[in-house]
Amino acid sequence: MTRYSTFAPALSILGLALIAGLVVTGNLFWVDTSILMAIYALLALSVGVSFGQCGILSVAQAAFAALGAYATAILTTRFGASPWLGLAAAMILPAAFAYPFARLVTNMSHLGLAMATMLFGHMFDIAVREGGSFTGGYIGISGLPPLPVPYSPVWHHALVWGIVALVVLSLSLLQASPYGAALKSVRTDALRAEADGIDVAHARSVALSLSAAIAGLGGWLYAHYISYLAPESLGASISISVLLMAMVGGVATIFGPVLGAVVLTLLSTLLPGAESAGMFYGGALLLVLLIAPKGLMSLRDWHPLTATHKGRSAK
Amino acid sequence: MRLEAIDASVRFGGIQALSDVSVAVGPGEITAVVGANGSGKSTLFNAITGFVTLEKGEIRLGGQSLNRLSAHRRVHRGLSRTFQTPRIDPEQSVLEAVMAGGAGASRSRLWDACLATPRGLRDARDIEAHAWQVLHDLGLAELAHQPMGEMPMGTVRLIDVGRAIMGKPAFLLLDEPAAGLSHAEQEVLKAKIRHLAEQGVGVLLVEHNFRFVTDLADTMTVLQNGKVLDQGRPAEVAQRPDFIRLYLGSTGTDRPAAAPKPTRAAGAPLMTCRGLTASHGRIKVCFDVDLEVPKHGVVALLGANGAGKSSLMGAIAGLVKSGGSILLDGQEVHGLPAHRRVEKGICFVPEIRGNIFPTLRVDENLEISQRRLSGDDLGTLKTELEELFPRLHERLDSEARMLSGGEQQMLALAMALAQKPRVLLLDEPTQGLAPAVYDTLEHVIARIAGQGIGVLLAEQNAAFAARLADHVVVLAEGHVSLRADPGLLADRERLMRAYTGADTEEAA
Repeated sequence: MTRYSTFAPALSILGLALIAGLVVTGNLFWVDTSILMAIYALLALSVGVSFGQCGILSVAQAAFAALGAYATAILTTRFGASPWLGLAAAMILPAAFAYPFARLVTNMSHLGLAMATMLFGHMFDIAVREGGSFTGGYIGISGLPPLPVPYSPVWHHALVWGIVALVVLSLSLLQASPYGAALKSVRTDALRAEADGIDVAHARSVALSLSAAIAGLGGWLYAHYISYLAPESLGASISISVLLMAMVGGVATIFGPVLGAVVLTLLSTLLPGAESAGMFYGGALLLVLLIAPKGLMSLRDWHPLTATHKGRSAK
Repeated sequence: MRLEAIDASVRFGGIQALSDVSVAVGPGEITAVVGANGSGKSTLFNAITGFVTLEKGEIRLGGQSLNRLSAHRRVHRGLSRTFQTPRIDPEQSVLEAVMAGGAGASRSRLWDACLATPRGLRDARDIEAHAWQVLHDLGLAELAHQPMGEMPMGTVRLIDVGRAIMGKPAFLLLDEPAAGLSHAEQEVLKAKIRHLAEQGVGVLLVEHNFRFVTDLADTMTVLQNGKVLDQGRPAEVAQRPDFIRLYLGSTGTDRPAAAPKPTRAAGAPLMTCRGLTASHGRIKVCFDVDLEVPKHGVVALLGANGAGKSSLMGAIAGLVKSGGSILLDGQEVHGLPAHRRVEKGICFVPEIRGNIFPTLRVDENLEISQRRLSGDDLGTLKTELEELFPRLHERLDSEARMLSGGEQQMLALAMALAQKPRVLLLDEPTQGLAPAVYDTLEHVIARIAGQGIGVLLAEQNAAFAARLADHVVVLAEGHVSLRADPGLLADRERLMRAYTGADTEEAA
């Protein structure tokens, strides 16, 4: 079952990240951009799991990331725990929140789900702001310990992109497995999935949990990389941005969300005009969605060599 | 171990869809449930598989109640189903589609999949091997890597059966397996179903293709209006008058065509359909139908349930995907969308009075239908309607849903007439009406035709149609199986043959 095609996305990310690492090394601005890009890529991947693989439209991904980030921030600054313990908490806590939440809301329509997840994000935001000294309130938490690798831009860069590659690898394995096939049935035809003997509500909730765990992982990287966390660090606008990244890249593919994160981060960095940049950004987004409604990854079908691969698998 | 439905009753809001129906199937047996649309077959099927909740009664497997189990848990207990319209993902390969059927029984967990643990990999290998086995058994192995979207309907149904048996079910439930299949495809499917039964799988199938059932089933249950009409061996049930009446329809008096009608139909036909086909998605339900509706004439379109009558009507109205040609007064209208066809004068009254707004009052309904008329036209129409439907004008301020079935049908016709139709398509106007209303309805339809409107009347009730029609066309499995004068409808044996498609000759 595990074939070359399963490993291809993860290997390409490793390769590209390595090249990017060599190119940007020494230029701190670009190293920083690349690291943030990777963190956005993780959040976009979390959208890919929930929306792309299982059809749950969630606009609370930044809130799940923030939940993970706050978990590790509080553990490491208030209780002196190691960032590794923080990592476990940052992944488990959002997943544990997401499962029961999903059981309640995943029968809703896309719009209903979007509203429900948005409200969840708002509630979390208010809880953080009103959390007093425990969450740092409006001021936030500063002085987080750095990422647990040697303190150098190159190591940080390697760590974040390595994690992206690992997540992509395990998502590729998931997609190639019977479990992934079950999630796909749930997404394309829930009634059919039920008739296959799949517990649809459970499968959807598991998908949102996994998605929340990946977002939490992104939050952990963010918190320890920036070493400062405030309510607006991973706010509602980030949820929308990463949703767009996933859509632009191709939400139904594994590689698409990463591509979207790279393209949109580059766009927002490189586009001219400080004040009017948002206008160019919006225009570029619209253009991409008009040309490739299923995301940039769908354009690969234009290429005759890869297009013939589609739907087949080398036995 | 037997699968039983005991006194199963289902209610949807105010409608009793199923009352006290009992069926049973044992290992290796093939049991069929037949009946018209709305007779409750699908509801029974969904109740057994857990997609619909029972009002009362019990579903039992080996003596144990399944009532409290959700659909996917019933699958785990050994109940597997197919769908009437196979629910496929056109981009999936045949192998992937069959493998998807094994996903529900898979015991591996999320982390087995994400981390590729030995258990996860073994599970994946087992499922793939089993899927290959199933494909070989069904003779589909060569198609394994083809996309589902390119498979013909017969193959898609076989694949659907393959997907259902991936979970190694003890009982297989097939929802209209023969719908949309050619004779050759039906034979293949029949052989595979028999083969499964020989291996000890109990098969319960819901079907309206009666011939398919007679060949295949050990026992048959006939449903009518949610109740069991008859139960027994298919060959015996088919001989009983109740069953024949259900199939051919009947009025209380069951009299054949009355005195020969004056030849109203003359000259060039008003509407001519040539090579008309109709499809629902990928399922083709009507094939190359030629049809002429003369001015002043009533053409009756007869046929058993599922013969394609409503689909053909829908195709003419532009509501169902179709091919071929439709000429209205020599002008091609087939390329037009439905609302443009209405403007040209093709007006469709769907079955169960589907064109009325049940929660609006009668006058509001009429107002909506008359919105395009004004001045003299409106005045003339109103006088005409008052004359045609006096009863309706006594109830102008009632909500349409509070009217009796007959009154609703009058309202539906009144609304259709406001569209200034040249051809009126009436789908099963007598459906659900008391025989007492038939005379009034017959009178009204005859008067409408007398005004120079061509009427195409799809009917289950052959006797009603015979009294009105100038010409009769019988559909069987989407093909025209008989064209005749209404007088021929008195020959019930001949009609029965045409209904089952056995008689394809044309009569004068």
